[in-house]
Parts: sequence; C-alpha cells; structure tokens
Amino acid sequence: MACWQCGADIDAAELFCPTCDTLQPPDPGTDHFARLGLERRFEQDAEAITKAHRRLQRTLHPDRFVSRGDRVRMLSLQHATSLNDALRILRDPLLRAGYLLDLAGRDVKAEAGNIKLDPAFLMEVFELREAIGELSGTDAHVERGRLARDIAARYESRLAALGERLDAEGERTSAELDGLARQAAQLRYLRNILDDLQALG
Amino acid sequence: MKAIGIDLGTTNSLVAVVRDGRPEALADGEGRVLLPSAVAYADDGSATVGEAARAVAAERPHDTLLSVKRLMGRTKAEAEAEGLSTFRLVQDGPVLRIEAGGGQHTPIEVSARILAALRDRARAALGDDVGRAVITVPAYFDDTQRQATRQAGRLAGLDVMRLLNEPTAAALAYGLDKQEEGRFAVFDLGGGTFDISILHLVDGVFEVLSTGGDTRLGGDDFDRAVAEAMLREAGVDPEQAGPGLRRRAIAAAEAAKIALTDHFETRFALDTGDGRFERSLSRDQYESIVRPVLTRVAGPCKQALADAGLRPDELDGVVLVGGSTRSPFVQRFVAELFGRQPLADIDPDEVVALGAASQADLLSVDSELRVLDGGDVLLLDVTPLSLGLETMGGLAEKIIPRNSPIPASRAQAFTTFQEGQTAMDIHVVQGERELVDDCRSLARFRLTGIPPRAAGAARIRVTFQVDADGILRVSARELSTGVEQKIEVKPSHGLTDAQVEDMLQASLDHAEEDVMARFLRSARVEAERVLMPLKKAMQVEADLLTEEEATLITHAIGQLEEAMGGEDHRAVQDLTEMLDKVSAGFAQRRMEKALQAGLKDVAVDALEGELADAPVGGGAHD
Repeated sequence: MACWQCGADIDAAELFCPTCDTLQPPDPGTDHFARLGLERRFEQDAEAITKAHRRLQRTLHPDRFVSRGDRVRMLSLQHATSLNDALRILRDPLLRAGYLLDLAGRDVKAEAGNIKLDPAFLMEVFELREAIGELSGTDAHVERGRLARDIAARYESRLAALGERLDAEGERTSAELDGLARQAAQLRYLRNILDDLQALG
Repeated sequence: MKAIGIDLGTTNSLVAVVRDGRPEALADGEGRVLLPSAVAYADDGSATVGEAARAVAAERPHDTLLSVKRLMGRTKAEAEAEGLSTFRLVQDGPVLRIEAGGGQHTPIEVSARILAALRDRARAALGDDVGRAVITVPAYFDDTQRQATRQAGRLAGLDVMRLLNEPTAAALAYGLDKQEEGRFAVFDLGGGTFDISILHLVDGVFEVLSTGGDTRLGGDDFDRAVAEAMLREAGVDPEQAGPGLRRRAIAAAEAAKIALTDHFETRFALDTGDGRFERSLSRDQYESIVRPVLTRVAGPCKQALADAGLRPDELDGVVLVGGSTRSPFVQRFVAELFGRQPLADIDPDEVVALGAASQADLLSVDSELRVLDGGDVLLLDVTPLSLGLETMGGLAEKIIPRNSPIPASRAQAFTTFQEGQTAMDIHVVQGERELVDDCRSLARFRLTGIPPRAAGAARIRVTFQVDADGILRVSARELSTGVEQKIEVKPSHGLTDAQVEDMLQASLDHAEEDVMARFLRSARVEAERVLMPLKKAMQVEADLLTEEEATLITHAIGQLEEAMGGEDHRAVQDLTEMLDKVSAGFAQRRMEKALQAGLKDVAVDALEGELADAPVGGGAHD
C-alpha cells in the first residue's frame, strides 16, 4: 500500500507512515483485537484492554491533530471512533464472545433470524419471567434479589463455559459454531432479565 | 492566534490565558480579575456589564440581571420550579426571555454580553486576534444547557473550541493530570451555588465519576446567617428589617468574614437606624453561627462519594474552588469531612479559568509544534446523557448510552411498521428516561422513498455519530435502495434559532400520564403487531411451517397472550421479541414467497388505515 501523503510503500497496518510520519487510514483488515494489540481470544485481562485503549487514544485522538488538514483530522476521527468501539465491545465479555463468533462468520445479533433458540431454554425464560411476574408484597425486593443472584450465577457460569469453548484448541465444525452462536444469543436473554431486575430495584 | 480560557460563573466570570508557558488570569484596567456576572439594561436598551451593573442592582433591581447562568437552556416552567422567581420571565412561544430595561433578552444574549466583555479584556491585553476559547460549564449541565453556552460564545464572536467541565478544569490547574492515576474530589463553593464532583484520572484521561451539590447554597448564606444573628442580638427581627438595614447588616457580615480569614477576632459594627450596635466576634463565635450552613454541604459530599463507590480515604486529593473556600472555617470543615488537607494553593476564584486556559492552549494552533509524546493530558470526554430515537408508543430507544467515550458511532436496524409504508419519521432525543416526552428533543427528520413492502420487510439503518466535540450526526438509510437522509445537530456552530425553539418546545410537552400504563400499552401494541399477522399467516400459509416450528410458535403465542393479560410490560416486550425470533424462519420463507409472487399479491391486512403516521417501527437490538 502507498502512503496517501508521500507515496512511500507501507504496510496497511501501519498507523503512521515510517517515511513522512503522516497518519494513515484505519486498515479495514484490522479487527478490534489487533487494533488494541491483543490476542484474538475470549480470555482477556480487563485492565490490559483499557490500558491499550488509552495508550492508543493518546496518539490517535482528534485533539492531537487540531491544526492539521481535514484529511488527517478525518482519519484521526475514524481511528478514535474505532478505538472506542473496540473498548466497548472487548471490555464486555458477552459482546466479546459475540464479536469472536462474528469474526468466525456467525451473526449473533437479535435481528439474525437464523439463530434457533433451544426449546428448553425458551421454557426456562418463560418460567423466569413468570416467577418475576408473581413477585409481590412487602418482601418482593428480597425475593427479587435472591432471583437476581440465582440468574446471575447461571449467566456467569454459562458465559465462562462459552468462553472456554471459544478458546478451545483446534478447528470447529460449522455445527459447533452454530451451537456457540445459539448459546451467546441465549445469554443475551438472561442478561436482559438481569437488567430488568436491576431496573426494578 | 491566542486561545483563551473563560470561567463563565453564576456570580463572577473571568478570563485567563497561557503566557510563557504559565496560565494567568487577566485583569481589567483597574486591576480587577473578577467580572461580576451582572448585566444592567438602561431604558434605551443599552447594556452595562460587570461592576458597574452590579452597582446599580439595588436601585434598579428589575433592570439588573444577576445569576443568569441559572436560566441557561431552561424554560420558564423549569426556572420557576427551581425558585428563580426574582427574574421577570416571559415565555415567548418556546423561548424564554427576561424583561429588563423596557426590552426582553434571552439568557443566551445576556451571557453573551458577559463573554464579550471578557473577550474585549483579552483583546486589550493580547491583541485583536483573540478569537478561540475554551469555556467551562458545570459537570451536571445537560446538552441543552451546553448548547446554550456554546451559542452565547458564538454570539460574543468567539470560536468555542471546547466546553470543559469546571471540576476537570480545576484539576488541570493543579496539574493533577501529571499523575499516573488518582481519584479527586473537587469542592466548589461559590457565592450562591455549591458543587461537588468526584473525578478519576488514569493515564492522562479524566473521567467524571459523580456529581452533586446544592444550587441554593453558597457563601452568601454565611453572610445572611451572620447578619440575621447579629440583627436579632441588636433587638431587630430580621424579617421586619427594611431593605437598607438588611443590606448594611449583610455588608457588615461579609466584612467580618473577610477579616476573620486573617485574624482570630474582629469588631462587628452596625448602624441599626435606632442606634449603633457593636460587639467583638471571634472565629469560634462566627463558626458556631454558620455551622448549620456548613453542615448542609456534608450531605451532597457523602452522596457523591457513595455514587462514585468510594470511601473518603480512597481519595487522592481534594481541590478547593470558589471564593467561599478561602474561609478557614470552610477549609477546616472540608478537611474534617474528607479526612485530609485540601489543596488550596491556587486562588480558588481563578483556578477554573486557569485550567481552561491550559486546555485552550493545548488545543490551539500554537501547540502544533509541541512534541505530543505523552507529556500532555488528553481529556477523553463522554456523552453526558444518552442519545436515542423515538420508537413505537413514544418510547425512547437509546443508541449511544450516557458515559460513552466520544468520538462514538453506533448503528441500529429498524423496520417499517405498516404495509406499504414509504416514509419514516426519525426523532432524535436525549435523556435517560424511557418516555420520549421525558427526554429532550434534539432533531426530527423524515426518511422518504422507502420502497413499499410488506410491514417489517424494509431494512432501515440509523447511524448516530458523535465527534470529539460532541457534535451529533444522524443518518437513516434504507438498505435495499440506498436512499438516505441526514441531519446534523451542531452544538458548536449550526443550531438555528428555529431549531433551538423546537427543542424548547418539545421539552414543554410534558404529558401527565400514568407511566407504567403507557409502557404496558405500547408493549401490547408492539406485541399485537407481531401477533396478528403471524396468527393469520399460520392459518393461510401453514404449508411453510415445520412441525417443530409450529409447536414452538404456538407455545410462544400462548405465553405472550398470557403476558399481555398481565401488567408486566417488560415480560410482554421480551416475549414479543422471542416470538419474533422463533417465527423468523417462517417470516423469511413467507417473504421470499411473496416477493416471488410480486408485491401486488401481498395481502394488505386490516391494520392499514388504523395506523396513519407510523413512527420508527419495532427496533431490533444491534
């Protein structure tokens, strides 16, 4: 690839041209893990993620290019936006798992209609919703807290299990990936219930 | 070109600039640094600003505007709810104006007068090319208040590079950004307001963890408490004291406060009209009088710490801001409250402006040649409030949640609600509440040219982009045709008066309605939207269903219908989404079949006509 400023031949992943030191466009081939210099896997050190994000923002943030030309400022904005996006996704374990599946060609978003939920899981959600709906009276908040802890424990252990399977060595079959995507989608429903319980106080 | 830092305060304002690497506050021709935030209007409409305006406040109370910062970005209803009844307010359509000097003035115009006076002071000291500025705002200011402040700057002929949170500016002035990590409390006690903020700094990045305060508490309350105690001792009921005597008592109390800053004892003297009252006043005596006022600052401090999840001993420093923190009583009280000596080396009246000047310098052209190798602080701003869209039933769907680091970009997919719908209204809102009416309306636009399809078939991608200056751009794009509409909500330069009026208008539309009932109703509408066509399709196109699918869908329909009979709107929402999901494969096959058959064959169902102007359809989480 050629530097847009001086034309020198450079690697697309370079942030600055080694010849003229000009900021380069974000490399479309760079995923969020590579963007932050992290290994592409589920297991991550949360502090390492935020530290990498800050270190890179210090060199790429638009405030560093206030008096430069429009093109450089626009590139800086793109870099900074992507860095913030990387932080948001990688810092949240569930989003991180979804992102890993996304990289493997599995869309786990709610609008992805091709993910079939496990009927047993659907029943589980229906029952949890029912249990929450039946909470009432003076000690409802106590019961709600107990329920929230119970669901949180399920959520955490399933998330950890999903993470382990994502990080497992070796090639995965398409069916295995579908199964992991289903688990990730199902975890989102548990998390919605947890968020709702929290909102109820 | 020199960039200046401005502290636009409730009681006083001032301007500072970095010269020879050091920030310094600029004084007027008479050596005064503080400019009273006062604007007096004469009957001919001309205005005087600052000391001269404050001097006539007593004789022309209605024509002298003080503390106008409290009205920035507010409506009359909001201002009155906050007890700002000393102003003669006029709600002129959606715009708030203040009557003074036979004319009417918006808070933005009044603030612009103050900013222009500071700009002139800076030009006198630095030359005519002063134009770029960083202006400070309270950390709790919402987008409308921030936009109003930016507009005031623009009206004063300033290029507002950045709005900076006041506590962050104070921390910058103390060079706290030079540390690797730390948590700081910024204690800001001005003449009439009290603010407490807890900041977190990591690797040169500041974050506001929590804020609190009392907009009705300040140094003036000390003077008032002492004046009233002295009047009582002199045998005068403070309630019955005439305005002249009251003013003299407050002036004497203020003099005593200042004297006690350097001395342990002073004389308090007052001409009561019937004679002369005089006594000695020691620091201890003074402190016992103002103790009840001091304890009122303790509550918000404890709350702010709790909100930040911190104990006092987990703080790495306490910064004092505001003239009232000069008082040794206040300093001792703060030391007790936080268990440490506060930082008080920098003039507390100037500290915010000095920090703003440092930031202005960093952002200005002059810093271009500086080596940015990690020595300088970078302020990673976050969105102070969530940004979102209006969806079905008047609900606000958050696209960029509050506290997201900016710049940020997020997209979300929506679909049409109506059979053959060709346009979609996009209503951009800001706020934390779930009902659009409780949020602030920022902008509206309409995406047209959507190809007519079955309900739910069109895919519209709405993208929110916030750049490093907090400017929001929203675009909506129909994915199959690529038709696109955009709008820019430009807090820095572009807001027209009409847009501002629209924003104010929207915040007036507070519907008094049972919130939960509305949630429930809109969740039921959404559920019905999924249920009705699905049930119909299951009869008409059962051949497209697998047996397993049919069982699952039937079960999900039963669950949803049961939930719809109940009161839990969240259950209805979730079950609707799940039904949508279990029936997605079926919907896909139906759509394919319909597309093959041609659009004209798609049955237009009974919903049509009932749903005239459908807003953004049922959203799908991204």
